[in-house]
Amino acid sequence: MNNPCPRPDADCPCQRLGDCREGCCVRVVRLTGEPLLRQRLMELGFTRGAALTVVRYAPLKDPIEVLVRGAHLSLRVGEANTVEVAPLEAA
Amino acid sequence: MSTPAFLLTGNPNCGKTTLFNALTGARQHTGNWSGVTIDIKEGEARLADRSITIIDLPGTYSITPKSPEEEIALNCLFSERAQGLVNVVDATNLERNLYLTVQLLETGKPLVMALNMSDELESRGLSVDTVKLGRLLGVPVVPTIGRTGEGLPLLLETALRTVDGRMPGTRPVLIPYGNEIEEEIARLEPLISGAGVCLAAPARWYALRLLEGDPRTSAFFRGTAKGPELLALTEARKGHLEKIFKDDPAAVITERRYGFITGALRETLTVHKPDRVDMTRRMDSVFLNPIFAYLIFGGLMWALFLLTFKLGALPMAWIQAGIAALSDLAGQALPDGLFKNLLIEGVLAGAGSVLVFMPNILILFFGISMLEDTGYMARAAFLMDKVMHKMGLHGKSFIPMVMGLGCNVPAILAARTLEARSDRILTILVAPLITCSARLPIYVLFAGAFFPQHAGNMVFLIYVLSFAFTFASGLLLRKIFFRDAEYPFVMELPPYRMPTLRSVAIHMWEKGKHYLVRIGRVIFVFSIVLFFLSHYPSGHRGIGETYIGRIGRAVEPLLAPAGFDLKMSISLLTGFVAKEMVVGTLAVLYSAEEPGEGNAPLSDSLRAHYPPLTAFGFMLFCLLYTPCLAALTTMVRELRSRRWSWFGFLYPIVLAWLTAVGVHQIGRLLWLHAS
Repeated sequence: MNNPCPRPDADCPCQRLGDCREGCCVRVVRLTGEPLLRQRLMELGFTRGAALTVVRYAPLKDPIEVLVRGAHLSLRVGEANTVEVAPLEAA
Repeated sequence: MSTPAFLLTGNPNCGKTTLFNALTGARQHTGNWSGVTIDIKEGEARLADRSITIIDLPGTYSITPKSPEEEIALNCLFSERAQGLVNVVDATNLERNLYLTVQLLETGKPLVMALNMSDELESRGLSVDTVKLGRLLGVPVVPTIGRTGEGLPLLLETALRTVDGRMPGTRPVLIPYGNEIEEEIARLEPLISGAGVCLAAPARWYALRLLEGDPRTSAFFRGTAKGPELLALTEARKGHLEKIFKDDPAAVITERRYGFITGALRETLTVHKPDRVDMTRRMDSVFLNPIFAYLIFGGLMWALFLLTFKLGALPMAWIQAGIAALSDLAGQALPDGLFKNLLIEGVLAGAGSVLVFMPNILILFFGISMLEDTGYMARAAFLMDKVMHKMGLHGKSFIPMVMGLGCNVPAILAARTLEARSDRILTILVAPLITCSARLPIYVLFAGAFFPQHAGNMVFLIYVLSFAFTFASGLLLRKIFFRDAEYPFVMELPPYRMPTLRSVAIHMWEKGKHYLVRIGRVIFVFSIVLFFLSHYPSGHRGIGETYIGRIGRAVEPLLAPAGFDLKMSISLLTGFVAKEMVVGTLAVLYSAEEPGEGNAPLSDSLRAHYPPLTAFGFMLFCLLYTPCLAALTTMVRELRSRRWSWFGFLYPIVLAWLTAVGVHQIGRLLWLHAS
């Protein structure tokens, strides 16, 4: 679905969601967390290939706000690090 | 025909509760399911002259339960209790909301979709072809606006017709999972149908659950005749799928579901203005702004606090005045004797001590409901999670903690906003360590009497210690009891919405009623008990000879290592009922002692009898020991577990005792008691 990327040309070499900067648009490669976390994330839309946009980090740098399938979710950086990502190919 | 019943289900934040309130209004109550009092609300909706039961299940993102409430919801789904489902979907967040819908469709139960918040579609530049969507999903789709009640009669009618089988266009829809998975489903289905057990859903549904690795479904089949064979086959085929996909079959199944949803939305959802920045994003750039966020948050907390305790002070004073007037009236109208004393000092005082909290509780819950229903609460959790997490708690625990500074009762009740049981229990256990406003008079009295130059600093120190103990306890209890239960923090930041006054009012009244009825009852009874204990055996021999005095004397040796004497012991006992009583009891005990000297200030009497070290120890004890009866009762009800209730009762006492004794003994060692 359309997650318009605010900064499509940004350089986002991050391989884990927790390493991505604000404004990065990436896609999910795989989930490496505990079963409960994986299940929760998948149900909320973190499936393989799903587009993610890092909206912002909290003022204390944790948690992160992520746009996925049209909804805004917050995850702790530790949880975000269980999401392996790759750059989103230009649509 | 008996009243038809429908289960109301949907994601959190989809407006389900507003819809439920609009459908049932005041005709709702908390249901009792299989002997467990979990808050599942049931209500009666009316369509013309027909009565329809609506059961509001807790909001959930998927059928797989992750909390006790969701488990009960799942059981409800498969019980015979309801004839059909009403799936409330947030029209502005269709993609994710439809995930639950798809899962519900696969259960084969009659379903109607309420496309809620449909009025917001236009303002966001979206439009949905509801007819086509209904056709693709095989269920009727009714646009609704929960806030105004629009679409609800049609929703009810459609629900009834669907259940009666009179709804054209309703068809079972099969989500295509791709050849590999379909093959395995086909392999498992015959074994499932032939398992010899009564199936509440199509065999296909069970097959998918088994391939997803759902432990509940495996357990379900384990005991059946064909069970072991079925489960062995499942394991084998799952392994096969894992090899092909290089991933967990559950992940692939989830993917395919979303694929179906994306496809359906491509044909039915139109985005007219793709570059619109909506109101929520704009507000978040302020509310979550690194510079302003905490200022705004602090301001809102302070306002909530002020509103609760300052605004609440007015009706509080009225209630106290009312009780006092009644007492006077009773004092004049009734003949002297037991009944009169009982009425005034037992019944009226008891009822008064309960009623007096009501304004605070109602206002506080008004505030919390507003914060929750507007969506701001999620932002607060977002801002506070880092700090809370360090304490072993959840970002959402922050609000209950702040509330605890005023009164522990609403703080404990507010812990309900936490999803995970472990977070809830921890927050409830730790909440009483937050110093409530009832303890403040104790600090003010003792600090003023013993440390007159530094009274303000002493009180501040107590507050700092309260925070320190709370923090440390949170960490400690998390490490001891909940080390492995790391519940995901993953939380949605819903769009900002203006709640209906009716919803907030219902929310507020529910909590208030709970307090008044449940907790009030207990306090009332105990106040009367306390009355008898403090007045008998009578004979004006001083409070030391009464029952409470005897209990005090029994307890005195236990408190001696902390340096507390009989009078302090007795006041601490009365403090069990309400912390406000500690100062009052000390005053009564000391004035009874020196009747001839008129009213010597209590602080003088205290200074004459105790060294400052003991005073400090006493303040700490009052800070930490078991909360007042109201809080304790609330705690027991919210914890719903005998084990945890005992712990919640004993932990603060033990902590208080160790601290007070420690302070006294170490202080003596260092000769600090030579004031």
